[in-house]
Amino acid sequence: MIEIINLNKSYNKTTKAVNNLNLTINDGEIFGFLGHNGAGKTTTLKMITGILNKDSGYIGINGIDITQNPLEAKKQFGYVPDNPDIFLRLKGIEYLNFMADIYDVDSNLRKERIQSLTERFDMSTALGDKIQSYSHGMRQKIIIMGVLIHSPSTWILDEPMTGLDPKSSFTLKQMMREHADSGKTVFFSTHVLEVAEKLCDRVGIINKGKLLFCGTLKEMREHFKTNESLEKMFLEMTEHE
Amino acid sequence: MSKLLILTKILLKNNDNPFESGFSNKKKLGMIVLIILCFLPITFGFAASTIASYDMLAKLNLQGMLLASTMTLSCITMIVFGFFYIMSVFYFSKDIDTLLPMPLRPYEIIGAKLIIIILFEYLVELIILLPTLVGFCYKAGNPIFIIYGIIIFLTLPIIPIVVCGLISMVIMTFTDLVKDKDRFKFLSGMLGIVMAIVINILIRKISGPEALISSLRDNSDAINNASKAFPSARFAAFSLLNSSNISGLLNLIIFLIISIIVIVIFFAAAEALYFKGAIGISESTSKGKKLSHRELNKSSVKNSKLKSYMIKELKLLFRTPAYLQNCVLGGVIFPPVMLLIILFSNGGMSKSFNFQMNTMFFTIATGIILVTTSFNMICATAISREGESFFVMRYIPVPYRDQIIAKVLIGIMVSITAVVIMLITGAIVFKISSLMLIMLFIISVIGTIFYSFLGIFIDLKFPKLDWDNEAKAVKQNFNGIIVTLALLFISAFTSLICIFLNINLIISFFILLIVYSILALLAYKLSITKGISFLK
Repeated sequence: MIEIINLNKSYNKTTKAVNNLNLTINDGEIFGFLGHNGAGKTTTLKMITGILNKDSGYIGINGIDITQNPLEAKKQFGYVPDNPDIFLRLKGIEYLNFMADIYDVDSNLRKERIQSLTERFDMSTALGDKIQSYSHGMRQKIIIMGVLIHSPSTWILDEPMTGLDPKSSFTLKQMMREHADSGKTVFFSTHVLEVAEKLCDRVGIINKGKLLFCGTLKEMREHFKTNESLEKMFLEMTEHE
Repeated sequence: MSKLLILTKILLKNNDNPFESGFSNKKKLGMIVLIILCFLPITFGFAASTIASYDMLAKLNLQGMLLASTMTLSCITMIVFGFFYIMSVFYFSKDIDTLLPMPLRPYEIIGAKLIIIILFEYLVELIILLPTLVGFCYKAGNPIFIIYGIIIFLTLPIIPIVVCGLISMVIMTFTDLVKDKDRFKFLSGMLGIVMAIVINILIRKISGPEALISSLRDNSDAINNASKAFPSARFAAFSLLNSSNISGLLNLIIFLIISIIVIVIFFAAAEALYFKGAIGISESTSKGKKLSHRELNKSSVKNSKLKSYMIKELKLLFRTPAYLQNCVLGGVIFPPVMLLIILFSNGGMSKSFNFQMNTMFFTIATGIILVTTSFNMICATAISREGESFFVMRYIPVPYRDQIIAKVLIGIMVSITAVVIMLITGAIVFKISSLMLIMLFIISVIGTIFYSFLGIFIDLKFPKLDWDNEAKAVKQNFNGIIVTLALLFISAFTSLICIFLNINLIISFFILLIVYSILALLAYKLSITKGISFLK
């Protein structure tokens, strides 16, 4: 569960990147965070994960405050950043083991997970090579595998589908569903509305740092009293601002 | 042509300049002033020695040799520093993949990059050439000399840089070496170190009035031979020497014509060759082999967080060519090699080095060991090297303190290796007593702890994270220089006190022990308190 209360962040004291954001992502749900480029999605995700400092407000992951108790909070989630170009000179297998060590996964368990993840993401021939030689999509996959290897209760994914081939994208969506169905939390950002429409239990729409809407797709449709596609609603909502 | 200028402007703005760093503008200015201050004595030295030796050489009508030798030296230095810089700017920079798809002619891309490199070379000239020009002008200058001087200052880098550029284009076009980009970078870097050593010996032979005089005395042709390799430098020198008559103008025109011809050849070569070498440069090799069960088992053993973090640091350090050269090899191999060169270049092996094992030897040796081994900059660039991946430090559940300690431990390990190699080299050359060895070792180890924590503290405060090729994270990073300067100051200060107060060896040892222990403790405390707060 992720709890965000009165969250604020501004750059240069003038530009409000996130404006008084309130959001609760419950256990057992996939929550899609929607918005244009520069709407404040990544900034919010970075504050939740401790990469950026917030100006004010509260962020709790499974009830643990990221500011008060950062180390415990960080153990609660796995994070897939929007840029997968990290640790390029490590081999895939070395990266996975590094992440497993950092998150205290013991030897047998990690071996099992490496094998199953490698199979599911079709990466068995790539693990012995340096990440540098991977394509964008493969880099994305190895980062996702690095998260799944420690099986965190909360997943925080920044544009996770970008660059993935259809099969991996399908696999990831399937895994997100399984994860939520087992009573855990998935929080991801996207600007691909179709993905959100098919996958999310609830969505939040953010524009210029403000949360415009938060709820199920059904609620959203009722909210507009139409049955138009989410795309239209989305455009309508953001255009009115 | 206009596209070339637009591209130059963009590349310059896009942090392709040597002063780009994590500093604010004000601090950057301060650093530049500090560096100028550091080079000032050398600059003054060059100018003063030119003035001093001018009269004597003028009597023999050999004053032109001063100009010719300095210009040759400038060209050699520009080639040494330029060659690898050119390689990385022309071929290994990240912007290549962005520039290749644009509708640009090869000469436009490479021309813009060339201009940037030439701007960078003006810094080299500023230190090496300008003082001699000023000194010479003081003795024999006239208004035309100044005009010629400015023209030559601005155009001198063209020929050496273009020559390097041509060589690198040929290498990149026709060799298969670059299939493994990393290995190629590493090999060229090793070659760079060897070349730097050779140049160092050359410089001792051909530069400065003393070398001039000794070369005259020994009737040696070192200078003549060296300047034959750079005929253009001779024309430049003659034009300045004869600035008061028409032959000066003629020489200048010949010099400029050569420069222009060289540029034309270069652009033509760029049109023909550049794309051949540059296209596909970002490919990297992969084996695409499935890991066997055994390999998987072997690699999937659980380690402690600290150990795992250190292994990661070590792998990135050793696998990234720029880091391996500058941090590991530069810091471990370079100091003892330089020590040997300096010792043996004046007088050779025949000299015996029977120093007294006294306070002076002890304090100065400590200073030399600490200053030279600090060249590795591993800790002073530990945060900068993270670059775009810096954010990972923030979201993984490893306390900042542990991450810093893991990074510092790697630095200390490499530094201590360097200390041991220095001590072994020293022990063989100087016949150091075992007591002295032990004392030097103890102080050096504590000293490395001090400068490692100091380095990471400075890098935490001013990380240079915004780079597009790894060499920039370490080469164009002032943080390492600050650490070396601090060590220089501390060791000079402690040495002077111990020597002038005539303190005996054992007490000097304890003084240094206490000083460096306190400093190490302070640097440690600072890093894990204030330093960590910079990360938050």
